Amino acid sequence: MSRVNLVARCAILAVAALAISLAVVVVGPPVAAQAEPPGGMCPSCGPTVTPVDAGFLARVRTEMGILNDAASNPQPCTTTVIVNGVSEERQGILRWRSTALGEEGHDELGNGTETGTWYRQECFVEGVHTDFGELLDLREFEAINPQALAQVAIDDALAAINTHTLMTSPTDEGLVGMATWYWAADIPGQISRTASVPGMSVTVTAGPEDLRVDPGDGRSVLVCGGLGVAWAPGASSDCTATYQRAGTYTVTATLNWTGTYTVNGAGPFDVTVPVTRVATRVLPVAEAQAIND
Amino acid sequence: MRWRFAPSIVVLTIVALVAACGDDDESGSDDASSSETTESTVDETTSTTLSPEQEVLRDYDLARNAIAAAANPPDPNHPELVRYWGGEALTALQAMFTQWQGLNVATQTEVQVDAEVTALAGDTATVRDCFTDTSQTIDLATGQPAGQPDTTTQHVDVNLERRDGVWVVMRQVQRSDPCPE
Repeated sequence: MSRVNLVARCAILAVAALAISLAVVVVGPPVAAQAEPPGGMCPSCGPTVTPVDAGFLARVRTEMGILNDAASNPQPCTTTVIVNGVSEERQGILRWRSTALGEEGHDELGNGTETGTWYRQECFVEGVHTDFGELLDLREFEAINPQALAQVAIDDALAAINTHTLMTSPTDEGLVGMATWYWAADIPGQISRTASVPGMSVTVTAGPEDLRVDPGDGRSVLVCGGLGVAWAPGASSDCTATYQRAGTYTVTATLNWTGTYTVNGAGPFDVTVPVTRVATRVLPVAEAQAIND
Repeated sequence: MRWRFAPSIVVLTIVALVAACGDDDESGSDDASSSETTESTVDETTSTTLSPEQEVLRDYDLARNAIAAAANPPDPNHPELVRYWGGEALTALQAMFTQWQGLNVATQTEVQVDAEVTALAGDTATVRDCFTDTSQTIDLATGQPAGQPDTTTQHVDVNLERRDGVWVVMRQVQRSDPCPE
């Protein structure tokens, strides 16, 4: 680049930079957003699921119980309110109210990426308070979130029906060297149930997804792709096993239930953690007898 | 309107002048470093044949990088994300990035993996990983960092399926035991 061109470029850019700098000073920086964005995010953790077990569901139910008991059986409390400029003692009720980013207590609520839900316990006086009562406590109910409530709802729905029945063919006794068929029976197509806590109502609609059968002879678990196929002349199925030795086998059939849920009417969202039900049966397997007439 | 003199005027002007009047030879050195990078990449891609386990880990690494790419700015349909993630794992990531779009936030993310293949049969594989995610939240309204960088470590089992020659992460399950020392 020639010396003249270099000087010209410097001059033009210097003027432009001066103009931009002055504009920044005169106009000032953009107004900051009113609500701070959440910090401490972990995108790599986004798809992580925690296996559902009885202990987890028990925790969810315990926390649901605390919140719902307070709502259905409100306890009295006393708080100071100001009515027409005069401070008065009034009786209210203790209640838990879910909170969101931007509300009172925001700074104490963490960063909005926790797995649970934050609630404030407050003394609320009907007719005096509008949205908020006197803040008494803030805490995260760590097991309360839409996915967890959806799993509880499925679990509740399944508790109301019988465990599926594992069917086999041959029915009562398998034969060495002959394919044994497996399929699930006594299953409703779809179930629906609602689980709620204050501020969050989750309605789940679920159905059986796939049947997995462990024939009990040490081979890999069979993934049946649906519920298996009931034996019938001319039918075919991938959900079969052929036993090589006579004996008594414990066959375990695990049925995964999954579906979708709505949160306060919004959705549907996928239930990403299957809820499972297990059925077992003992299947004797005998040597096939040669028929020699 | 009140005019103020601020040091920022001087600073910005000097920065612009330095940038504009810098020696053109610097561009030449940039070109040189680009050439070196290209040569290095060619060497890597032509010199080795990967074992099946190494192929799994290569695509697993790319899946981790895809999250970082899709997080800034948040893009639920980022091509790399939908290439290397599938099933419920992709659903969860897309829901998360959609939420971030609503919040107008992003993250600058670096992730370190400590992964091993624990099962590989046909078109399915399982990887056990103790990954460390270091993320800085960005407020997209201002373009500025929000808060401090946050580091999270998780011990997970990851299920992958091979689809059209690519190992795709389908499920990521948190392990109950801590990362090994």
